[in-house]
Amino acid sequence: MNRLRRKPYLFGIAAAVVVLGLAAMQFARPSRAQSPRLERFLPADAVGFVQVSDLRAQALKIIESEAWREFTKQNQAASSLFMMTANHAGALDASYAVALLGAGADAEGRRRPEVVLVAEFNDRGARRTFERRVLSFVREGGEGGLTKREEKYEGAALTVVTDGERGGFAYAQIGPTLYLSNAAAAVKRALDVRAGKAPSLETNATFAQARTRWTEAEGVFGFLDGAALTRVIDETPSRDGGAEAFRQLFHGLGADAVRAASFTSTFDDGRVVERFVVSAPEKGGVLASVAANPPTQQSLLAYVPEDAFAAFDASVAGAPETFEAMLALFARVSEQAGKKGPADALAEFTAKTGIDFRGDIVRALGAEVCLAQLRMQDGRDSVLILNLKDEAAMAGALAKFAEHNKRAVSERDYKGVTVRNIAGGKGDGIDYAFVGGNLVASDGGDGGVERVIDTAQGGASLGASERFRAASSNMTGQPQFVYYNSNADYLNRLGGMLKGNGQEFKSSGQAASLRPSVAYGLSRPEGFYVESRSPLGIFPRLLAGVSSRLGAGEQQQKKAGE
Amino acid sequence: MNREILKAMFWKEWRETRWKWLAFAFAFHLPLLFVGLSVALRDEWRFDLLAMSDGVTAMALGFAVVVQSIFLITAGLFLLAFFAVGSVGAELENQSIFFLLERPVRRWQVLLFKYGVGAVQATTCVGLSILSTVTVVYVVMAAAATNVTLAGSREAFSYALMNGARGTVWTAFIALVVYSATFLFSVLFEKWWIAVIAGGISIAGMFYYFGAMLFEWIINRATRNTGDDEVNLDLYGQLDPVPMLLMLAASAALYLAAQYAFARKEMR
Repeated sequence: MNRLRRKPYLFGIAAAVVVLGLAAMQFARPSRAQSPRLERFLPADAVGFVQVSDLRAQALKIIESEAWREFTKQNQAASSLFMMTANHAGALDASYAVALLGAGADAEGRRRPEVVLVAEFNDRGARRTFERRVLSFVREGGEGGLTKREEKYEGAALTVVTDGERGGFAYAQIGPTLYLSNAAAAVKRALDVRAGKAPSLETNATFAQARTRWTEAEGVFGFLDGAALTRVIDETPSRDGGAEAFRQLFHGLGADAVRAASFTSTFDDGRVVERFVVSAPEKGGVLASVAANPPTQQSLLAYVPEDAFAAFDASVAGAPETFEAMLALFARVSEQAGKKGPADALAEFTAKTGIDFRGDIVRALGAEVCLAQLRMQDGRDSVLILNLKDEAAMAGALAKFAEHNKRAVSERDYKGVTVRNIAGGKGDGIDYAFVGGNLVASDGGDGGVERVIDTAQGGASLGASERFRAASSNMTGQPQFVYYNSNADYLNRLGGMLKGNGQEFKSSGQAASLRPSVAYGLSRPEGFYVESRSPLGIFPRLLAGVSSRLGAGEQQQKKAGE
Repeated sequence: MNREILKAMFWKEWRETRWKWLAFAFAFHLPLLFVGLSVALRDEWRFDLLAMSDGVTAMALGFAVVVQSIFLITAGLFLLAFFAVGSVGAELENQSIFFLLERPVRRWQVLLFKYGVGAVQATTCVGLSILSTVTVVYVVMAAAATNVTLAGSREAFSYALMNGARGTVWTAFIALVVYSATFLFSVLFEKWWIAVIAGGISIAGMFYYFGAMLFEWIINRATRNTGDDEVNLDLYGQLDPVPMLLMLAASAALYLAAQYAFARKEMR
């Protein structure tokens, strides 16, 4: 003890360790935003729900992604400062959910969707930062003829801001949670759930089933309740027949057979995987014929040059049936609405082009279609490759089109294949050729058709390329469509998207060898499944959206301060 | 005084003060500790670190140089007073100095060794903390931030080190003056707390009269007319021989005053 007394610094060290330990416990405790289940705050009958979990964690994954690394090499300081600005704007300290609660009537009795945003912040401080920056921005935006009313509802401070012309908005806060909506009634419905007066979305069985596909690690989760959507559409009163026509269209398309749709977005191996699942075990209407469309053979990818920027390949084997089903549906809907029907539209098309769309085009279609963007010496060229059942019918249709429109047709030979050109009113018209039972068409004079012919005659094709194989290695099942993008221009597009938030990003001249994006979709007995793997998915848009709004708000505050 | 006695006295001073010196060397990195804790415990700070790239390395290192310099010429000088205050007074108070004076050494030699070892410790402790801070910040950034690469940021690091070296020189000179003044108080006052108060008052006085000049010499030129959060390290701590020589002269005068007081000190 005496020894301890002689060493007072030991007490100091012990005190410092205790303080540091307490501080570490406080800071290291998982914040609310890191473990959100925001469906707890929304009513069980919500139509749609999109949640973004812990935006800061998502932003960190963006920083570590392959695309952002490449982007940072090209935009050194700007990319870091962009992220830091977003970080200090206060918007990253939260998880967000946007829900469509249904349709309500405004003051004049007009139906309008009721949307509520729920944000759960890490703490009250983060919530106040958000309020100060975003809500003040929203308020300032609507100044002039704006009235504000405050009331207490279920223990929350509810503020209703009314704008005579635009309807206004309402918001409420409890602890670290903020509710913001275009309708006070929607905020009240959400507050009722919180108070335990109404069941929450997490008790919705359809939602719970969709939620099982979502894990905490995933950044974005979206959900659409098919039954609730059908209910809202069916309950919408019809004033001028428009709503009734839409209702018929909705049911005719078979959209009422959709039980639920869900969407998830997550980072995997430095890229973003997005999955869209439609649950519709009992398909009907047009949806049934789309589901019955057989998978694509991806045989047309053998005609696309290996260095193509992008390609979309889809099965159209069931196109005639789908076309007929849609035609019948539109005929019913237009008849009901007393407007021109699809038969009239097809007749107009024939009168303008000389082509019978149903007889010349739809019936000539084969099993597959491919749209590709090719790399050319002086830029890029888009090419359409259409598999044909009846090559002669298609050739006749094109000849009819040229004749009807008095366009000159020229021919040239390229490696034993006849390439025709239909002169255009403007530009170089259209080049086309028939290669291996497929129609190949592109803008005239750009050389796209010739590149396809080169590929067909032994050139390196996208379908056989290692890049495409590696990119599509995660594909499961037999897809009805496949989309490929080389991402050669991705960084420029990203720069263009993020530009204008106080940082200058390059939007041209950036070259990087990112892994290609691939998306595919297929029909399953229980519905539809679409999956995409891309550099950053929807996240840049999300971040740009949040930070641009906050950045603007912050700049306004700075100016006001000056 | 023979060579053995010289070595023994140097060894004695070093042994007695080495842990204190290390503790103060650590204390002179308090800003680094604060930032380190914030990065470890706060999401926002950690995010900023992880969001860094080669393009902002120079900016971050420039910021580190300036923050550490500000700490050194403000709070750091008070820390220095604590460091220097025990140089002589403590040994006078607990009368351990008599063991030393019993050896075949003169009084002025005892004080010269104490001053010499203490002055070297103080100036290195203060001056090098700028370079060590920059190095630690750089290593942490390179290790933690995905987009900070050694190849892309090496130049920024050497640029910060080279320019930071001027701050090292400046702060070493300032530290020498403060150390010398507190050393004098340590000779004059046997009670350490009186010497601390005297040292504190004199540092406060120095700030009152010369504070603005200290900032001007070391920091202001580098931060003036630059954008928000930007530092122009080329203009940081531009060396100026006149104030440096004056500080050296002041330190020498304070040391001689300490010798004068120590020689006439009545020790019981």
